[in-house]
Amino acid sequence: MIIPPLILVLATACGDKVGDDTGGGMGNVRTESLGSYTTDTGGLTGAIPLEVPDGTSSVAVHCGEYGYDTLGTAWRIVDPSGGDFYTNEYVEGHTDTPMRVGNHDDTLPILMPVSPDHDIRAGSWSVDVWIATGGRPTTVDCGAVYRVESPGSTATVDLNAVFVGLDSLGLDAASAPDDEDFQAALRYAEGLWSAAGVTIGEVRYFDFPGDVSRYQVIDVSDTDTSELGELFKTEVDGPARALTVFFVEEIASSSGATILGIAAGPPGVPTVAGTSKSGMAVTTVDLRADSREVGLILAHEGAHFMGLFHTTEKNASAFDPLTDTPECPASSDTDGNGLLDREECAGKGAENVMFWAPSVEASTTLTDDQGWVLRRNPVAR
Amino acid sequence: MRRLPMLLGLALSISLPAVAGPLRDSVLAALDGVEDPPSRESLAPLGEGVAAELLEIARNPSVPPSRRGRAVTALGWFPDDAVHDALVAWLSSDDRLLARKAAGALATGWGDRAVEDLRTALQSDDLQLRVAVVKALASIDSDAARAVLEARLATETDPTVKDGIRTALGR
Repeated sequence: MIIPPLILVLATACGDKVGDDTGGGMGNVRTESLGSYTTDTGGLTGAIPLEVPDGTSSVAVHCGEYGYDTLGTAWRIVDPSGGDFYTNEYVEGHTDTPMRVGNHDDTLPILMPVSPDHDIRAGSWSVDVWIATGGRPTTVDCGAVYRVESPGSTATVDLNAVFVGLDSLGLDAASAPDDEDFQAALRYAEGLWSAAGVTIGEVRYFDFPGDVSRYQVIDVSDTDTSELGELFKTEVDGPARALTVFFVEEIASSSGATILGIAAGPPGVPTVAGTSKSGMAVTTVDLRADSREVGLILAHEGAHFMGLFHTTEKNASAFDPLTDTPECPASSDTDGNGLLDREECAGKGAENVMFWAPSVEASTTLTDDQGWVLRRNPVAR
Repeated sequence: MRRLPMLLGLALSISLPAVAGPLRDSVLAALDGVEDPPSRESLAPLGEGVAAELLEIARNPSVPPSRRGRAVTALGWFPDDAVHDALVAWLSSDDRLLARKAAGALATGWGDRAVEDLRTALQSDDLQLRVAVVKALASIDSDAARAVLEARLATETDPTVKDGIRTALGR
């Protein structure tokens, strides 16, 4: 059947959201609803179909909300050939691929690709999501984000900077543009990203519109990330195609120790506001002492949001899915404390911004593959 | 009787010159993870002298505040008299971050014996310190700690702190 061109145009306009690329618009990034799915007694949604358009370089899928006390992950991702792009390790016939999907509470974020060794292509895909429902049927709403353009060798990322009760630093949306330390932190982060061909574009400044006393210090634990998730759901009047960064006084762990930064995911849900995976948080207690510390965390967490993982985890339990990033093996733990520190991993990844414990003195590099992933993310343009 | 050690601890916490020991680099490295804060399991294997290194790091103004705060938290895992005195001094200091961390460390290291110091800190004007103290008392979860929380609930005006107290009391 031949469909008149006018009807095709109308169908496209109604089915997807497409904006222009000027003044913070979505440009060649499309979002669509994939519908609602209810899990079976095994916690599986069944295949969620999505049509990846021609020219797509990056796809993000998100499904939620299923609650902060429940974890979800991808069970299987099938590509247009009908083969498995990804399977969970518990799936029979599991094959390890350069694709990574973690276990996430409340909203599951999936980003493809996260490695140049496992690129995506146009056509009919499906994603099967597993949620630890304990047999209880759970309905989730799913959506997709497609970046329908080829990324270049350079990219620009806009920021929505949200200040959450930083009066002890004398920092807010009004003062931040002229705040030497804050601007130095931004420049430091941009300097680190420049190794990957990424620059910071427009920065918009917002004061947190919610309950400052509740979110000024964020409490997180392995069993409760609700405060962080609710923070990340906060919407500000900035462009969707941007990184939304919540600058808080501190993030505190269950032991009371400070966490320097946390990004949703990784990865986060790009260009879609209002989910518990739509932002990242940066602790600012170091800003006046050494703005580079905050800049480093901004670069590190921003990279997590856009699809990078730690090159080596703290105990070598995992490495990232990229082939050109150095790995620091467990045998490097010479002091026997179960942590691979930067001295033990010198020359084995401690120099990378995405080392689990980067330092302003040593961690300044990003590899070609890391840049490839960052420049592809839908928030980048 | 406890006043002299307390004053001594306060003086030491303010004026002790930084003298790094042989474990300093390893201890400092254990405080460096972005999303992974230090744990007792990562510090204890470094050997004798960890507490002294943590005290030095926490007192050293050239160390970033986040690492100093992490060192204060970690001191709760290595309780001794010198650590106790330093923590009590930080709890009543003007350093918002170190005061919060000291509250948690006192609860970790001294449990019920820290309740009286924490009760005093609950009078602070700093609402985030009060929030941290409430969490510290909640972690102790003794009759004395619960009594302090009940008493504060009756007079606390900030909704965030009140919510924290109610959560701590299981309401």
